[in-house]
Amino acid sequence: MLQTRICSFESDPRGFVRATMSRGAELEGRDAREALESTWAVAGDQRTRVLVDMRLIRSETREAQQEFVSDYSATVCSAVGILIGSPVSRVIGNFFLRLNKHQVPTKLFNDGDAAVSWLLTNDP
Amino acid sequence: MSNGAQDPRLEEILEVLLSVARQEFDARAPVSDALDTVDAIATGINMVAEELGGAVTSKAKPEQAYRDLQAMQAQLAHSGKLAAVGELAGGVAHEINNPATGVVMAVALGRRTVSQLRQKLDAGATPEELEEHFTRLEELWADADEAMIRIRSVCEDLLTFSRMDDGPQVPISLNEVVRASCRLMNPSLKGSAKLELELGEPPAVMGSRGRIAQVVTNLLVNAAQAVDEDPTTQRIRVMTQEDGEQALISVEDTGPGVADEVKDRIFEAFFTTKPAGVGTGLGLALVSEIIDKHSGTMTVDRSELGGARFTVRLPGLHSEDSRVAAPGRAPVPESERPPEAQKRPRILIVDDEELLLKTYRHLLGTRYEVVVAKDGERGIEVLKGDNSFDLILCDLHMPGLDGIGLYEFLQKNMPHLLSGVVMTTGGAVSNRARKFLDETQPPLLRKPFNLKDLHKIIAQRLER
Repeated sequence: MLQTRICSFESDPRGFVRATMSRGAELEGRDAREALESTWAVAGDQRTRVLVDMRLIRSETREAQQEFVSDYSATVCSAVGILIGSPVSRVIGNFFLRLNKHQVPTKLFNDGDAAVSWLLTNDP
Repeated sequence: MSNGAQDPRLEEILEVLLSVARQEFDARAPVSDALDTVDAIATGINMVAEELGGAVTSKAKPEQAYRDLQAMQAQLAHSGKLAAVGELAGGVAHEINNPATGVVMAVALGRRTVSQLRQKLDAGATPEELEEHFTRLEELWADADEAMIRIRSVCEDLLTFSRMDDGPQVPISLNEVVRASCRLMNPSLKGSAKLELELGEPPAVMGSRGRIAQVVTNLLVNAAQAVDEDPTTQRIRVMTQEDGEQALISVEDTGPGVADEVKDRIFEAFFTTKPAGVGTGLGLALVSEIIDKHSGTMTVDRSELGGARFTVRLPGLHSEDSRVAAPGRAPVPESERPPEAQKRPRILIVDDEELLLKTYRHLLGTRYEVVVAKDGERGIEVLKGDNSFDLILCDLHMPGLDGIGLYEFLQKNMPHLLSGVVMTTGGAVSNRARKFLDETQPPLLRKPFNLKDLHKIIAQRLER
């Protein structure tokens, strides 16, 4: 497991990395970069499927969103499932999904199991 | 009213919305730890504000950057152009003004001498007493003639620099280009350094005369800007030589030289080590680009004079290719001359300037059979009637069918006459005319030419 300022990362034996945003996390560009680097490290320096739990997030900047759709992000992540729950995370998730061009499969989920099932249908 | 409407956060959200409406995108609505619906609305508005702000900024930035770049480019081009024009204009003005003054003075003295002659004639002076005045008049005319030749020479040099387009590649004598460049630049350099020329025997190179002249001029300007302004101690040396199959031009100076740490960068555009206001940082980049286009190389090292030495290497032409453009051809031996050449030669003169036609007829009529035509069409009419001419003296620029048109007519219909064509030009050479001259390389007389030049070129052509 790996912990950064706003997120914890752990490798799931089913073949993906689970990234959980801290309560009230305010995600900026540098946090996003750090999150991607951490994901890469936790996955054992290889590309992986990622489940991002952002149900407790408070905000996410434009720079952070752009970092998550960058070429570097596509190098790190093969598919991204995003768990949303609070009305705030729902807004942020929808903004992220609809306002950006994604290079890898990306989808929003209210349910963790459904998210995992979908993730596993994607290549690692 | 519902509870939501009483939530004080909504007031703040409304303020942010109004800011966005005013296109002010910096304000953000607070998001509480509750992460509830009101926070979601605030988040949504915050993200919209950020998105719009980012879009406006990112759109404005390139536009502003583009405007800044355009302004900077225009300014640099302008200052670069002014600098080049300034350098050349100084030299040209000096070179033309001096002989022009000589002409003006010769004319004034001639007028006074004529006046004195008239007075002496009125007083009944003998021819012997008038001889001194005639001799002076002859000297004055000779001085004026020499001054006009100098002016013409400057104009010819200047024409070399006007050919700044890449143009067709022709065999070039580097020494000629270097001499012309140095003649023009020398007056500008005089205040800075002593200019020394050491011309070897470099092979001819294939290229654009104007571009190579630009290279030499820029290197000279660069050297002049590098040295302290003291012609008693500072020197700029220009050398040409052969190096294997390559032709070399080097320009060196007594300046501070080029530091090792910037050697790799001095050929980059806008890079300059000179103080602000001296040089645009474009000169060497331009030189480098021109040399590249001529498949050459340029290096910089330390000169034995103490400063920088820029060496340009250009691929030389093999001897069989290196016929450098020059008027006329080798005279045909007397034994090979056709019998008809022994007769009184016939010359067709085509020029739209009637005064010139009269002068030609007056000057040449005693030696040759002269027929004149005042444009290309009339020239062709004459030729269609009788084409037994030994020489055709034709102006390049004429209204209607010009010299090129007449030449093309001859190529198609009377090619045997082509070797007897001599072109004349006032110097304002269009791209079309330049292309024609480069491709066909006819003997060329540049106006104003003197009687000696005219007789010489006619004699050369008739000796074929």
